[in-house]
Amino acid sequence: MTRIFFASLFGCIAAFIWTHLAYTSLRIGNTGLQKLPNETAVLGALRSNIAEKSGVYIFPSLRLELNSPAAGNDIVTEKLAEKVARYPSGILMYNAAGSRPIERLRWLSIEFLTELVEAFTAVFLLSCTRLRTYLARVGFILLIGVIAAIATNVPHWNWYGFSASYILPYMLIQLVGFLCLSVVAAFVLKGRSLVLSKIRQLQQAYRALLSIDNDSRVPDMRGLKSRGGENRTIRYHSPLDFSEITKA
Amino acid sequence: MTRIFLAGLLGGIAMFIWSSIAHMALPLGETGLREIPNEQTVLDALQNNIAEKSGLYIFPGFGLGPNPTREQKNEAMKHMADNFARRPSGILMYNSAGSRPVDMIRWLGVEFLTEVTEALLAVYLLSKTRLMSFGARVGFMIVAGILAAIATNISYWNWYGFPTSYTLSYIFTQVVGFLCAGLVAGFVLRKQTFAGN
Repeated sequence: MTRIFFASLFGCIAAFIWTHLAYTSLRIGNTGLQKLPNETAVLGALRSNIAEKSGVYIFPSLRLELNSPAAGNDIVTEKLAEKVARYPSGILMYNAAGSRPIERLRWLSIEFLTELVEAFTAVFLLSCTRLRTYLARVGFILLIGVIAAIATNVPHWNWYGFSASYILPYMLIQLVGFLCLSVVAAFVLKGRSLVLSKIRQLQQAYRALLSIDNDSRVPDMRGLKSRGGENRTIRYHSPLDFSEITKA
Repeated sequence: MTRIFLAGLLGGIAMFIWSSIAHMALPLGETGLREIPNEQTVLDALQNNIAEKSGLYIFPGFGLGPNPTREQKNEAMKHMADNFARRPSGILMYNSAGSRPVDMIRWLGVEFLTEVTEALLAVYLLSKTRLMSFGARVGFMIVAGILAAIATNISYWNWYGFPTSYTLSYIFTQVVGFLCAGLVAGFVLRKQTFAGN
């Protein structure tokens, strides 16, 4: 368990460094993000109409009715189609002036904690596998990264029209983050069978015990190795009792 | 392998059915989403100022011209806190009029394919585990779902200020989607021992 924790921690640090580089030095994270044209005029309009009501706004608001089965979907869809042909559509995350001060330290800490939870979860899932080679473990975590990258980003692109020029680099950053995590975590866990191998040993022992006749022969446990590699024997009491596992 | 594919496919269908219910029958899909006050006035203002330039906008900007120098950026950064105190902040995904027609069939198709892909990948990963019991397999899928759900949503909440109610609702919907996929996949694979076990 300690090894899994350290694999997650070091993997997370690698992923966090990558994310930081992607947003600061490489500026991949800013790809697709633009500056508002006529910002003063736009923000003035937002401020005078939305005022202090921070929140996520979807427009045109008919989009909200689209989800309601009572509204008569065909009519709403038709109205919405007319509206988006004449007016802009999209989604706005609006924080009223002064409602969200810059707190870089807090934001970075939350980002780190989020990535730590992701790393720990990914390595925990890896620990449930029977994968033993370095590449297989890297591939496993990378595939988890693919799921994580598409889960929210593709729906944002699909339903809200988020630009592909923003979504693709965002997904790339997440994927490379998981790659960094996997490379480091698999290295830390190199040569280690994972936590569930102990459970598997017990399962094997249990099956072996169940398979013997009712006489009290000691089952053949020579294939089972302890952590240090030395042989173990199991003193047989009952098929469910493993309390007597002792070093030979 | 066929069984694993079938489990992923059926799991993806279950996930899609759940998402549809969450967005249409339950209020989960709309939690935290609001209607712009004085919408028509705001849309006119957006249209007049942004016009045809569809894109994802972040505000407030530095207030610098094109290609600012590093010194100019550093100087502007010093005033950013003051800018945030005086002006609204956030992000705007703007699609100009007529640039993004309503295409429900396509949107639903993409959503379906996305969820089937997620479920197929998750079930494929599940097939690499030693997990034997139904509960453990469902648990694996839920944990994978939690990971997938927090990956982007927490960042949006943290960096852009997306509301907690919206974020939690989105995460909950995704995790329950993986639970549904896990239940179906666990059932389809209930007699399946993965290779190597």
